[in-house]
Amino acid sequence: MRKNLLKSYESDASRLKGKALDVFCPRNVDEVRDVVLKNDRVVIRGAGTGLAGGAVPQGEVVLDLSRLTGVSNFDEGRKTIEVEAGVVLDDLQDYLRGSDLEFPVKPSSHAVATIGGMIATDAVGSRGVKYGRTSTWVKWVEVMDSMGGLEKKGVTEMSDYAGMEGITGVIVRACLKLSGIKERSASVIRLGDLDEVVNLVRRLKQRRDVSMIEFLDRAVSKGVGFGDGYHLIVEYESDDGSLKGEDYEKVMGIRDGIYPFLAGKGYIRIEDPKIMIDRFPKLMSWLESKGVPTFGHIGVGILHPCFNVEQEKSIPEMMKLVKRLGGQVSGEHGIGILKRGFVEVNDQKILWNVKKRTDPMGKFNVGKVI
Amino acid sequence: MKKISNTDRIEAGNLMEEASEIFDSCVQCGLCKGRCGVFRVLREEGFSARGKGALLSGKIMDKILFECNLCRACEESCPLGVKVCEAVLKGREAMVLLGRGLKENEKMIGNVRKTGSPFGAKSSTGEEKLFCC
Repeated sequence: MRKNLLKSYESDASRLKGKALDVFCPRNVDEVRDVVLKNDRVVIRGAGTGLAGGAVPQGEVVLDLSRLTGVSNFDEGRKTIEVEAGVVLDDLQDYLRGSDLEFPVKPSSHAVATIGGMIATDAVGSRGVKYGRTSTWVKWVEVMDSMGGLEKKGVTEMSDYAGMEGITGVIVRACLKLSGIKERSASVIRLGDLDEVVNLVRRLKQRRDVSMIEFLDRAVSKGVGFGDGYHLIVEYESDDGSLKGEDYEKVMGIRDGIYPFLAGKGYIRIEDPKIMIDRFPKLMSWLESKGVPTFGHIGVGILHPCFNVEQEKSIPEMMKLVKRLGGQVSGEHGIGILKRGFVEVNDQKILWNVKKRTDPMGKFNVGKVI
Repeated sequence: MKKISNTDRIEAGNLMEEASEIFDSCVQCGLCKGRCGVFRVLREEGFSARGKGALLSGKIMDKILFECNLCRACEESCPLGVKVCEAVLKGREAMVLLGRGLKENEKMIGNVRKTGSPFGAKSSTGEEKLFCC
């Protein structure tokens, strides 16, 4: 690739800057193998929408899988479909249109996120409360190892690849499970205090037709035009929501645009701690005391506090609080480069063992996660 | 080779500065890629608005700036309303001022000036001639 164009690959949505030695955009699995065999260090990239710097090269070669867009073996009866890594989620949904099936996991970046990237980060997204993580909906993945070997990995070995952020191999193809399309509606509910939020979330989680519970704190609510107080955006897979059709689409658009909106106001650094719902008020009170605008998938306990440059120094303090409250430092964005320092020693050991077993040559995404 | 005047150099520098400033508000979320017709066909980051932003922010002139339909689909999907096409146009203008425009474009403009047709052939049917300054 021309030297000028390498610059486009030296960052991702985390805005961390790195250095790419070269970039390859293979069109098929054979070309992927060529890149893997001819280079010592490879960083695998999908849409580049990761927020932890997982796709930022640090003096390595970038393997952009965006051109692997093949879709095959769609089985309507078994509700499965095989896709290559570079297929964009919204393109897959378009492909499935007319079949009454869809891929139910929906990260905010669904318009650009690739299936390979979603599996590699084990994306959760806003419908996590009902549909869980991406790996729940993957039947098998086809993975290329550092010697260019290709192997299908089923559910039992899925954890070696899903959520490993590309440190264990190149996911080139996957068989996805699909779900029936539901008629959806939504409601925006205003709440006065955090205890009310906790009580309502608990009640909503008991309902089978609730597929999304999104929390917006007071600052975010005001910023996106919902007015004073805390707000929950609740998506129902029934007509129980007050917003349907265009109004539903509009509120989903607002939800997808929250982070870019906050980032535009200077709150660039987005975190993703995961915490149990009963401990949520304590964390939220701390965040409010620091003036950190927060939203998130409260249905699954993931919050997205967004820090500006001055507030960034308080992130380690927040992580300590999250751990003290029994939570996880990263619920869905992954570790990448940004959160390497917060991984527990025991977790690091486990990750190193998996890395040694699956990528003994240390070729893939070196310096990420561990 | 065209001699570049100092005024053109300064003007080109200013245009690149302005183009770079337009991308100051870009948070690199990548949502612009979803609806970019050029990216969806070629599938390389450099063709997307975010990719062009990376170049223009670094004030890098590259012929990839001409690989844009100026359809504004990226602006529609940009949550921050970054005026991508305006920046791309400024980048192109700067490149042309410095004699780094596309040869094909220059040839087409030469043809219009000479014959009134972008193809260089004189019209036999009496169609209205094109004009270029």
